[in-house]
Amino acid sequence: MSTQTNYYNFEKLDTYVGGNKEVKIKLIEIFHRTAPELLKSINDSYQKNDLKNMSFFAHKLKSSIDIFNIDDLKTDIRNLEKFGKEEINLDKIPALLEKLNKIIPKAVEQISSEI
Amino acid sequence: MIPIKIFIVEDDELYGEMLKYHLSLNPGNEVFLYSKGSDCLKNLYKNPDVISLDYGLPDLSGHDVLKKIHEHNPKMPVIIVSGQEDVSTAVQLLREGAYDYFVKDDETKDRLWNIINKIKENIALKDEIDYLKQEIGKKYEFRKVIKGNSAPLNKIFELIEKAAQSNISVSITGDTGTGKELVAKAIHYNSSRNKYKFVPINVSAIPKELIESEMFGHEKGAFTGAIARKIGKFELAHKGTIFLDEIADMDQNMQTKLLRVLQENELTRVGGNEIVRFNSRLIVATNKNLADEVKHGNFREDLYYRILGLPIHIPPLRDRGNDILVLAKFFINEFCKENNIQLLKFSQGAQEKLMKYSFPGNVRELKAIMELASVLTNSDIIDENEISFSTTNAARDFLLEDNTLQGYTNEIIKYYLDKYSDNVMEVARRLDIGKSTIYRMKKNKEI
Repeated sequence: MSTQTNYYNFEKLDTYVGGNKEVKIKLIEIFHRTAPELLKSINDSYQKNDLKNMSFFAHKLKSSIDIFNIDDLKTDIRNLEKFGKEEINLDKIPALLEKLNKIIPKAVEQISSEI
Repeated sequence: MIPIKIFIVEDDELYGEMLKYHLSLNPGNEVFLYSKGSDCLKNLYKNPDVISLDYGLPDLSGHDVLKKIHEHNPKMPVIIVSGQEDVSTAVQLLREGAYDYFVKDDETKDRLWNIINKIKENIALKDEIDYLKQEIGKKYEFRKVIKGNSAPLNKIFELIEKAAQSNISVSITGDTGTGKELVAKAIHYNSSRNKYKFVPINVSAIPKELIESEMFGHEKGAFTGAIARKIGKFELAHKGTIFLDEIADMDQNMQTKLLRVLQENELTRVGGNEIVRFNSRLIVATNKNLADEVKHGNFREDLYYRILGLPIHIPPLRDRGNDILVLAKFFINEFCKENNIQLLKFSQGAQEKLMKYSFPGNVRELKAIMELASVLTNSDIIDENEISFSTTNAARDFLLEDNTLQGYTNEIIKYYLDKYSDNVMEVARRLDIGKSTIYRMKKNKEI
């Protein structure tokens, strides 16, 4: 019996696609492709000290986190977007990024295994 | 529901695909997804019916895309979907013509679904209105609706065409029942103003205390009973046509106010201060001779010249020759169709009887006569016995029978003797002839 934490659930996605497996798989594929790209863009922007862009990419990743119910990151992604946009709480950003970098790859891996 | 094209402009691919899928659940929706504002603009040639626009796009701002969409089509409904709640941005975008604005959340897809359904309903209503306007236009293709081919009528057709091609005021004169309002509608529905309203006012049918409010509107509390603001007919007719029927019956005080309004193209509602500008074509009609009314001091001369514009006189039916039979056949056919009865024809005698009659009630009277004849006949032919005239002006009809001058004189004296109970003295006085003349005619059995 696996003890690994599932970082996601399909409850919201299923209500969106209404049981249409084909569309569900398509959306999972999009997540599989775009989430790592967005995570990379967030990290790159932060490295370049471009907080506005970091906020912009966090905003884009936010709806994926919501749709796949990645509950551990729902608050953090919003904070990252807000802190970057308003350039506040800059000291808290590294921890938020660390958490994001830990969970997103695992969530992507787990979700992709459902295809 | 009618099929419509929907553009979704959304740079979040996952979210965009999800919306596309959701909106495509309605087979009547043709949904296109674009990730950039510039892609949306490039594809506007496809003429979408509604656009869902993400406010935060990578290449162009929501403001810019909205502006360019409205440059392409100012009436395009654009729904802004924003990632963040920002009231000032929302208000600004709505001012700039966005159809709606809402923040992305779990309800977004359902809200979008509902709002698109509302837009569809509006499109369906608009299509229906356009269709009905076209139908009304067809209804007033004047050569079809104004029946006849007499020379006087062809002259009127020419004038209607001239009037329809310009914005000139038009004054229509003619006896009651000649079709003045029909001519006014023909001008309106064949002009460039036909997408807007034709607003008729019968001046003589409105009490003089109410006419100003009826024409120019009133503000709440302007007078007892003015419980709310009322928009007047002139405002309703903005960009369309205002038709003032029986204009000669307008009282002098109102004539003065009307003149000022027409000169300035602006009005003030009763009890109000706000100046309202309007742009409508004026058509007036009367069965009186306005020039005579001016001479007698009943109508303001300056207003007369202001409203005269293009005068169109509709001759009485009795002067339109063969149009009488054309119209009679038309009315019979219409009546038979409406009442599901077999089509009827006229006997030669019925046609001759109609052609000899004076029709003081004009086309309206002819219609009533033909409908009555259609009911009275027991066969598929209407003969002269079924043509019955109920004119209140029968005395003049004796002129329609060919006669000599002496014959007419005899008829006149007989008519007066009947009217005054054979009182020769009275008849002689009224006709200004000698009583001995009347006695002699009676003795000779001339009368």
